Amino acid sequence: MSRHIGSYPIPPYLKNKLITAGFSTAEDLEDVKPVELSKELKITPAEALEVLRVVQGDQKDPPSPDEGVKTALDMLQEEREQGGIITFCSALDELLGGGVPLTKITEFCGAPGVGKTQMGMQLAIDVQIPSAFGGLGGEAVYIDTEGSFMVHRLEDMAKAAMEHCRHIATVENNRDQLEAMADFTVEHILSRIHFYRVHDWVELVALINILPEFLQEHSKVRLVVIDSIAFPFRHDFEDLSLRTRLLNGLAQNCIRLADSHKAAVVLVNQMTTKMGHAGDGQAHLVPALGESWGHASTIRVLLFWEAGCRYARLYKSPTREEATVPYQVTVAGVRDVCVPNNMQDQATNISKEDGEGLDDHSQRKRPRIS
Amino acid sequence: MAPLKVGMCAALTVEVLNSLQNAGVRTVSEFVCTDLELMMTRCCVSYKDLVAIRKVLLVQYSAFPVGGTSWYEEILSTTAILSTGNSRLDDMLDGGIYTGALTEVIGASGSGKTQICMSVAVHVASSLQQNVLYMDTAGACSGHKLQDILHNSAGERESTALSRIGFRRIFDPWQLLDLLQKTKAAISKQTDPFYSKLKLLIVDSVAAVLSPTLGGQQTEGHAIMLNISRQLKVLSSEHSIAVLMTNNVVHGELGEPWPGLGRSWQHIPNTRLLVQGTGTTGSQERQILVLKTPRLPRCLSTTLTLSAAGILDLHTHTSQEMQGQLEASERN
Repeated sequence: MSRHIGSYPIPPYLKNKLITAGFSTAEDLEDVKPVELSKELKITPAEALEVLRVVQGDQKDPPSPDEGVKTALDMLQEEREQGGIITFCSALDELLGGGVPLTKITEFCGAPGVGKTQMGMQLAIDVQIPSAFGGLGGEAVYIDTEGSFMVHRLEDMAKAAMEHCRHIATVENNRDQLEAMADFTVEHILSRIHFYRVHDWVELVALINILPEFLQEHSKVRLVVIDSIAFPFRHDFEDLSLRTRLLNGLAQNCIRLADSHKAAVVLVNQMTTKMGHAGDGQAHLVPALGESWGHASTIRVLLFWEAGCRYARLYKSPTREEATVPYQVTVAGVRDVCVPNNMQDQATNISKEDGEGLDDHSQRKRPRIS
Repeated sequence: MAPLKVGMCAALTVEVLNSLQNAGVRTVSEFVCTDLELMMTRCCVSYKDLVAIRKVLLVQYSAFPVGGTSWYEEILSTTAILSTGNSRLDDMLDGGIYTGALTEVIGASGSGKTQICMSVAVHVASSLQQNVLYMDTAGACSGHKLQDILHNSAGERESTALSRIGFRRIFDPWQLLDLLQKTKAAISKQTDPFYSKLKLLIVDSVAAVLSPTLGGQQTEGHAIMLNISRQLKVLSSEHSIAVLMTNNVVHGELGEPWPGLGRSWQHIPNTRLLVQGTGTTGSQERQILVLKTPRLPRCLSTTLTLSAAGILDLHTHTSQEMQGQLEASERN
């Protein structure tokens, strides 16, 4: 097999030296010893060793016979076992095909105050729902770039989620579920959300690069929320081509993260105004960060207000058709607007009770009830 | 280019090789390019020997001329046209996707590029019963959707058809290069039955892996891009595989759509299709436009609808389609 030197991940200056010395394919380097190579190219033995490790190591690996070919059928099997992160809004779950999917990037875009951060916090709680309730029993990483993360608010939502699960457990009188509740208290929920406050894009890019190590240690993390991706890149950024390149790299790192750790990556994005988008000279609200960023996320959901009601529109998805559903943000978190079945009924009842119970001291939390 | 070695030809003995190397002539290309008289004075090798060595090397390393007729026959016997599963798209593309060529689908985000890729993959795997290798670089491909398309399609509906679609997730250009090399090696080895029946390679999308390395002061990214494109071309033409890839759209000076990845990439694909919405929001109709083609008349277009069955159509030849064709012919 004569693979060209140029196609190996070797530093360019070493490639140059190799090619001038007549080593142009992997075959040429087959029986070369590191010492010989370092003498020949006048490079350090360590560099020579590295070059040979890259090139020869590759050759020794037979072309993927042990793993075989992973087929679409295997992938289907994997997807069936995976499940998604529910949002507590059944219409939204249905829109996404069973909640926010793992191993994918889902982007929520919306104008200020439409509930993007609420959505992120809700998902960070919902990813922890114990497996006895059909949840993932995972943990979450929350990266806050705007400073909009409110831990009081999170506490409210965690409490509502806990009450909801306890209600189900007591009604069904399921022992597994009741046992699982012991580990699903507000303190536990909050302690399983790993929070990062990031101040600029350098910190964000650095964090995304070291996040795989963190996830290696915390193998139960099933959700990474970046709230928001737009903020660090929309301010104080002169070099637009650098921005595009950084964002593209960030997107690839995110999807790699999602795939290798079986986690869902949720990105929150802002909206921006674009003139003459449809050729009519009118201003339109479109997701920020430009057109090329649109390719970054696998699934894109637009959150918007219309006639006093919040709506979510599936804007891009490889699996589901475009559609729009209403949702609301209550004291308890993200919920359905109309109540389609009994279980949701109970859920909203609980949330309402909560809301009343908390009213006296919830002023500072600014609950948005629509 | 390969280094000079003893035994390449009779005149190239150890002494000759040593003296050549002392004079700084190490590779075949250096030997062929250096002036023979200069080499003779520097290396003290006879002119006759040098000419003989040069002749042998040139014969060994030059390309063979092939007659037009035999080349035509070879093309006829090796080229296959893979139907896309959509009769309108097939009509427009003169039968479908050709093996031995690179076909690129470009479009804005959410325009349906991945839908087209998945539909074609399912159609080739189920109806044509050929193997497909799907390289997913953006995590967009989903097994559930492939199954949905399969269940809604007209061909064989058994899930076993999905096992004809090989699937790989890759996230950086080095992995892509590596995978292309390994695929090439596996095809030439002919031991794995999957690779010997491989007819379609899908890269969805090339822009996702290549764009982070392109631009700015980096020249490495450009080299990788051209390396990848060369590997794709070699793979498609030597092993008669059809390559289908997707790319982003950027806007030119007048707002006209251009393929992403810059000017040099524009020359790489043989056929380029543009997918765009038909204007109304929320509509599942998409217009497909041929931007570049070696065979077809210019500016062909057709419309198709994205549905649960992807782009596979069950009801062929509607009145709308006839209209579409009329429009297309008028435009020509």
